[in-house]
Amino acid sequence: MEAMRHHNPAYATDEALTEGLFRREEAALEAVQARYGGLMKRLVSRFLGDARDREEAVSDTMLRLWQAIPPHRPASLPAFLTTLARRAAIDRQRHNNRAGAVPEGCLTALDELAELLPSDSGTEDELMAKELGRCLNAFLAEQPPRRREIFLRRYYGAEPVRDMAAAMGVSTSTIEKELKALRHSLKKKLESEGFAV
Amino acid sequence: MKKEIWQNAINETDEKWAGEYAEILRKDAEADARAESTVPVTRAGKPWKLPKWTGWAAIAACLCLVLITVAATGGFNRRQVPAQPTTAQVDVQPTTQVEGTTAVRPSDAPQTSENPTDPVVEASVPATSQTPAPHEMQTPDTYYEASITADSYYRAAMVPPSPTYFPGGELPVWNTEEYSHIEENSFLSVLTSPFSTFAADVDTASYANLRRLINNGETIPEDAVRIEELINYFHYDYAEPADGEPFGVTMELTDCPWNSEARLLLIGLQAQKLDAEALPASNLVFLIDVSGSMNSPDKLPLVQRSFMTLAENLGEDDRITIITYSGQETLVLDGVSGNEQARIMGALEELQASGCTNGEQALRMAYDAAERHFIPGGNNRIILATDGDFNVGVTSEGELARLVQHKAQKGVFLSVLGYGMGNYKDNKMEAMADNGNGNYYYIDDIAEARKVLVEEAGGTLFTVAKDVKLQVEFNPAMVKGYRLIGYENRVMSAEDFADDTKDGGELGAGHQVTALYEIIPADSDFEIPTVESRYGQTQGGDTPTLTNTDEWLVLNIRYKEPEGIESTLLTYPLAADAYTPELSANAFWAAGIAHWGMELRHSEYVGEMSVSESEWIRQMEDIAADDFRQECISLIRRSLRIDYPLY
Repeated sequence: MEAMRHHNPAYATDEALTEGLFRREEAALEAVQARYGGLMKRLVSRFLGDARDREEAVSDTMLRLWQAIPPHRPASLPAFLTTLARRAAIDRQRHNNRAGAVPEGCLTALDELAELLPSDSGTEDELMAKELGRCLNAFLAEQPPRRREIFLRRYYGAEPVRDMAAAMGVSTSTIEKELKALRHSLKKKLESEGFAV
Repeated sequence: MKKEIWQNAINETDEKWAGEYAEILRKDAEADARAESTVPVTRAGKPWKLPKWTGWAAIAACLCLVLITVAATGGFNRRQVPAQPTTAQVDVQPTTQVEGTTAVRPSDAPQTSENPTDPVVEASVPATSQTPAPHEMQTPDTYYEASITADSYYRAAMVPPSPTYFPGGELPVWNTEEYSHIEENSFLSVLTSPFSTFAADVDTASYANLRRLINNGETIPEDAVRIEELINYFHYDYAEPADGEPFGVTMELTDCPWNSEARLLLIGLQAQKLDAEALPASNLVFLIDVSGSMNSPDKLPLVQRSFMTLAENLGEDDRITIITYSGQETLVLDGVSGNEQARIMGALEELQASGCTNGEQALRMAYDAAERHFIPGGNNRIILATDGDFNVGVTSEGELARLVQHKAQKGVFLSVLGYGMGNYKDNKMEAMADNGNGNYYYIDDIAEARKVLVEEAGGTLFTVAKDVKLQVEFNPAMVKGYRLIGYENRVMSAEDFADDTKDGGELGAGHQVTALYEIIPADSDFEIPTVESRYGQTQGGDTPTLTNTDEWLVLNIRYKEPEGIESTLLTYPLAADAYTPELSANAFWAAGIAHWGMELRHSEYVGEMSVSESEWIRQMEDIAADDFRQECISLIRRSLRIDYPLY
């Protein structure tokens, strides 16, 4: 019903939505909410345990979208929104920084990756994050689609293993095995790129 | 701190991964919505699944029921008495659908793969969404609201859902196959249309697809039947090419079996064969669709086996690139030598289907790879394996066609292998191959893959003549009218024949092309619609005396060398004495197949006969010299329901 109420034929395509945002039309923002609100809620719920936090993260995402366009013109609106929503959720997570605010799946996913880095990186974190991001890009590009999906679900989307197993129609042990193999490959990749692991 | 770094690092990754994850979320949401509409849910809103132990409970309950029945009747030797009521709620009596239950089609329910055409699986789940979760129930006898069959119980409880991209374990049940409309060729008057021009076509996809439809007991869409592709699926005994010519030509004129007023003209082209040692090195790019729609036993697994079959026969000088695409294109192997079998096989084995279909970007990547590893004078070819659903991309289909045409001119050809059912886009795939100077095949099983990629690899992979066009000029002194059978989407205007910018068809090594015409002799009473001219030219009046030859017709063929840009013209007249009333084996088989296709298309030109008439089919059996022809006889019988209605 929500989507129907906000359905506006003037914004039938993502390109039309982007153009509407460029023209500063609030109706375009409503149309984005109607079309991608579910996607954003689904994503932020992986990072935020509290319903109010989730709502605020979605609102933050919409605000960031409104501020970013113009001048930014994203190649893919859903990709851009996903990036914004993830960042908004993580920012809110850091802002809250209280027990119980972060779902368990999100915490354990990061624990799994944390062990791949040295205890003391010795470099500025920001620079290291950029370098790691570049390495991750190359790593993801090398993965077969299914493996990449597993990586993205777990470490980009912070999905719990049991949810991944249900979504992909396999057992949790299969997912865990795949994740272990992925981390092993990533470790090798990091070593080959000069990260002291 | 390290977690923070990772979190930031993931934020620094390319936006394309965010796009890929957005697509994953979208599919999850769709699947959840479908699951909620068809599957009962727990109070938490999650789809409710039977615990594994319930399957064993079902078996135990069945055994108890049998034992109780036996005990109540006093053993197997006593007179049977009605079975006593039991506490088990499994009713093994055959049931019809019960009010308050949901009938589930086999494709909706978990099913075994042995028999996908099973009838409706009965009420295995309650219809309402108010069902409590199993762990919240006190006694087993409240699990089911209605009786269910033991078989459906077993299927629902014991058979795990097949691994699938969709959380609900469902594949789409609706049929979205697409075929281009075919407007059947009609009789044309030689006075108004003396030239019949068409591009050669060696595709055989329609036959293999038809076989799949018949074997599955499905309705055959008329537009799925391209008669020329049925005829060209088989081998004929044609003249070999003369020295210096890329193909030999056979022409036969005989009586038309289904039209007593007509003659049947057979034109057969036999392309030059190449010895295995003479085959040029190959630079092959396997472009493989691994999107979610390929997640089916008749798609990606068959693609993997097909390419493994092809890869087995490659050598050291050959180069293999493997590119996959779904939401993201991936370069899996880049120009490895054909003798690196382990790497190629391993890469093929690891392919998994998921995500959407970004065919366009992948195609561009494939052309880049093919150009990177280009072998001058070699066989540079992309082989696309897909169900044809290019549903993501910014380029229109017209632009895509122009890209494919442009690359073909630069020497990189595109062949298309079609797979699967339900979502099969026959029209798109044929158009892609036509534009890409390649061929189009439908692979319905591993035997067909072997035929296309191993036994006929020369034709599939090595082009000996490109832009092949045929033009028949009929002599109005001998011929009143004609009708080309099939080739509807290959017909060209007469002016395009000599225009080298107009695309024709490609012939691979050893390929054969067969075309059939119904020809009405000049002295026949058969009526052919003509056009009245305002300015007094004879249009359908007395037979003119325009020529001083008694030839029936002349066949003109234009072709280019594989890397040529100018066409060569070959001319073959058909003399008056070429007519023989007896059909040769070639003509008899081709005529039978053509008529079968016409019957399946409900053609207005089938006449009074049917290929199903016992004498005709029996004589076809006599000349069914190979396994392919024998299989075809079986398909004809089944499709026309001769002897035994199967479905």
